[in-house]
Amino acid sequence: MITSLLRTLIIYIVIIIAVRIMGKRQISELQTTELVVTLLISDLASIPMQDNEQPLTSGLVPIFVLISLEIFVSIFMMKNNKIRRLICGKPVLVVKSGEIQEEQLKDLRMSHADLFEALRQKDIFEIDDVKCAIIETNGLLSVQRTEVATNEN
Amino acid sequence: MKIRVFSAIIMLFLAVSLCVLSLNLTEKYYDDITEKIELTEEYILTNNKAAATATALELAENWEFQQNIFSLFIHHSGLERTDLTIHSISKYLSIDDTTAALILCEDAKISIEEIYKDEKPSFWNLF
Repeated sequence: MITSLLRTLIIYIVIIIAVRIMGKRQISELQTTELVVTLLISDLASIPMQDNEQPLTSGLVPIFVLISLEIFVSIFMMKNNKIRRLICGKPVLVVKSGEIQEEQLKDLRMSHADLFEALRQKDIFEIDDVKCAIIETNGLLSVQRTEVATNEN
Repeated sequence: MKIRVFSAIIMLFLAVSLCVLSLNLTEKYYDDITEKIELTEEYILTNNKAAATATALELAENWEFQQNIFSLFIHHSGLERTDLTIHSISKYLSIDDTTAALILCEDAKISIEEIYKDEKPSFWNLF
């Protein structure tokens, strides 16, 4: 049991350091790569924590590699837009001048109900109030209201 | 930014170093253990019981340390089997059961080879 306790302590410290090194984005909206890395790290950390038969290094080595890869990829994405687009995709315009872009919506596998739900979360209840709405690469919806709707507010 | 890049490089270096170190140690210990087992087998086959027992005991003694190092990077269940086999060789020799000792020598050779093969990077291991 003491081994489990010490292992948990070591892994906890490593994860805290990992999140600090990877930056604040890891605790807010996640990009594709960040989501993947976060999921993988949590999974990798739990195996040697639960199973004392498993060497600790078998969890730590992949975590170290993932953290470094995540940092390198984020730097490459920052410096090169093409790489960013390749890894994260590009924002998609789903509403233009109050008109839903059906093709784009279909590509995103998003229903009207999903779109309206996201709009309602932005306090928009009429599609005509939307000048343009974009699904960002991290999955969030950005909305620009029409001038009339903005003035009404 | 610079600190992050530096940390990433350090972590990658650490990970690669650990991998290289584990591979080198596995290779070194594999050679050492296999050599000792083959020597024990040779002594058993030439009816040199005293030398066979001494080699088997030396093998078991060295294994104690090698096992600790192996446990840092190899799944412990694989090591337990090898541990039991290596320690049993000298016991069988002490009761003059050379046939069982020879079988265990072969068993130990196979299990240590399995450890080495699992650690060694290969196409089959990757997939």
